[in-house]
Amino acid sequence: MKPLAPVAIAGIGCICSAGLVLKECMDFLYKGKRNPAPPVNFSTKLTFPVFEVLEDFFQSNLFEENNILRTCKLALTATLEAISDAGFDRKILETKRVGACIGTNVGCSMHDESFANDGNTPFITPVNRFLFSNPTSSIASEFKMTGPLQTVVNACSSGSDALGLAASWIRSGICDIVITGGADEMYQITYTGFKSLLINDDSPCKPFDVNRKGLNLGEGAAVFILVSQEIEKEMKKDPRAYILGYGSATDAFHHTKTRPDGKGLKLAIEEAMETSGATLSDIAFINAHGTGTLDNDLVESRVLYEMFPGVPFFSTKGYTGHTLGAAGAIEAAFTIACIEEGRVPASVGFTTSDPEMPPAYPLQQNATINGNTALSETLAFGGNNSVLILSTGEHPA
Amino acid sequence: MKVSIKGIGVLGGFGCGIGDLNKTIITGKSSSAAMVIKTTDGDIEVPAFLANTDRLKSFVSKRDLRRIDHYIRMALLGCFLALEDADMLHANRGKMGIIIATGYGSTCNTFDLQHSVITEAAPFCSPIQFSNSVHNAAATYISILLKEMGPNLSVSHYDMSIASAFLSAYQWLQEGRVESVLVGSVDEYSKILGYFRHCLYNKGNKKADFAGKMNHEYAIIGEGANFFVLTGENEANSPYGFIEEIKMGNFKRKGINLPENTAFFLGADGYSECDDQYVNYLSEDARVASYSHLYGGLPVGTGFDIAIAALSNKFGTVFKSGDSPIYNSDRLNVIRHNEDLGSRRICCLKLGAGGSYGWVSLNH
Repeated sequence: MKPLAPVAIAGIGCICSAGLVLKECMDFLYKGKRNPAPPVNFSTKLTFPVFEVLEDFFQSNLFEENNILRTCKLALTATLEAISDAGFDRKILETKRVGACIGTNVGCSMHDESFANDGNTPFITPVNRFLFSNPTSSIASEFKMTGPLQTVVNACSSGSDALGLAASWIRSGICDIVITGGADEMYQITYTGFKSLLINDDSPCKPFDVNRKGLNLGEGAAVFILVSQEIEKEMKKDPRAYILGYGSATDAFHHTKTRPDGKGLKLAIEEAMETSGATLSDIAFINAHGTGTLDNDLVESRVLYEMFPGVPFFSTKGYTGHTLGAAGAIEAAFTIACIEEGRVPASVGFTTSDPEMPPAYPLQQNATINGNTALSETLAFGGNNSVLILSTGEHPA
Repeated sequence: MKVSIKGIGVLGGFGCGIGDLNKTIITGKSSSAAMVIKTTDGDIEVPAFLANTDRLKSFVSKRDLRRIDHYIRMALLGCFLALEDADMLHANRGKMGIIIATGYGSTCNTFDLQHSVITEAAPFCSPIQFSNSVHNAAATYISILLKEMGPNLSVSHYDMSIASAFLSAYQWLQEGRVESVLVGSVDEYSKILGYFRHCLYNKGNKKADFAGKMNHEYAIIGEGANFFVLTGENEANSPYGFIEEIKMGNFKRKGINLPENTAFFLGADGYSECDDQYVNYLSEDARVASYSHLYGGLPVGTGFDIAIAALSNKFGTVFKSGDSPIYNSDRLNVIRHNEDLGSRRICCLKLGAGGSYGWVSLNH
């Protein structure tokens, strides 16, 4: 594919266990802290650690609708930060062609414990609430949007796929502004489901480490405000960053396991690089998926060693847990913040290299980086691979 | 850009395959099943159009089918039928994208899973059941069985799922990401939906906030799958015509810009809160039809309307509408008899929750 036009990111919002806004999250990451613990937002007899947003984060007085799913509350909170970060008055969203494209998993599944526990003749209010409150609908309703809406349910790559698709909406001219990203809440089914697959670590996760035993789940949201070139010119401040390229491909191999030869991931990387117009030497660092599962980390390290020899990489899952449909978006937000800051966080949890892996190891200390372009990648159930090339600075040529 | 429809695969209460859908349009009748749901207040009976997936055995081995539930089987059969219809089942398909839309996802599996996790003494979850409950499970099985490694997207946005899936398919072809897109949708009947319908339409039921609001006579739950093979090739190659345009927006906030010289296929199925709103956005002389009496009420019903529109293009005929559920039909110009399509395009229009709308227009 030919290089595509860069798409400006006017503002970013992020919430996860590391912090309630993006700046707070980055400060937390650079300190090398993490606080996984057994879940408290639902009752369970299992004790695998997770990364929940424990604070009472939702400021109900700022939003019209409050009887919504937790995933929607996370998404709305991040959206408000992103709008503020862009320097927009939220009224602008009512007058422009504004679309929303959000990735999620739990936020789009018909689940409600009160319904399931209400015997054989339950009230259907929870079903009704579900039908009208996935995160995309909540954002569209709250900000009175008039453009296209799409909810991406590509499992763990949903957030990054949403960003790539939203960029297409801007390029093709169907929207002036797109609110995009990912959101997911911690939920009992996913918690128990990952245990059934034997890929939950019963201790804090250790991405890329020889002793890794699996992932820890997390929750959160990251939201981006994408704008057209016309809106970019009207803005009083420079865009925060640009989406240069996006690629996605499928393993066509297994429902939950990563394809051993990494071919799907390689195809996604190739498409992202081609559409970005960037070269290998432009990539300052890679924000890897790095879940801490045996298969994912092994395949990912081999692909990165083969395609990006010598390029520093890290995983932030050790700080946030795996936030599923939000992961790609949260990690894209971290990637942009790292380019802005000129440094990347240590890959917490990694201490000992795995002899099965090639001699390419994630960063063990915070590191300074040079350059303004980076790659963020996500791999997902179903063999989905999604890659974003992001940059900061002046509008790319 | 004109996007050709090269093949169609459909299944539902009307039967299996585009031929069965065509026959049902002519007879004007599908047969529903009476589904019984046990509750502590007694048995509830609800009508539903159900899909049969027996034909899947001719495409997929028994071994490959053993862990696949009804929801995924419907999606697989729809996709194989579409590829067969496009004569692309065994051909070199080039770079193909896969996009699957669903309104509810795999609800039977998800609720069984939820029940086992929440109500069992020790939380338990079958790994197969869990991985099949993930929304992109159907797209996963398709990519594995077809060995397709191109872009793969699953979307779930209730009534707007079809419009958003077609929007992405159109953009992928426009950008040159892929040479063809297998785009389709699937939704299944579940006892939860049956119970939901019972509450929605039973005036005496105190479990619903809005019991008795709508007319239940024509609201029959539907399930099934509809799949399309789309390419950017010249429309002359396609008897079904081509996708001309896809639009999404919010009619309550900004109205709807609808195309001219058009026959409108309305997605009124007795379930949407907006079924009575079509009359407010169509001109008095607009010719309209609804076919949900053939496939039932389901979030991805617009996909069946697109298949019927493609058949209209193929035969140059707009087929007669069902009687309802077009509310205010006395104020709409309903197509009561088969008529010549002429030079008109067809617009498949769906009004959904919160004032959302989506339309897909086809031309020939």
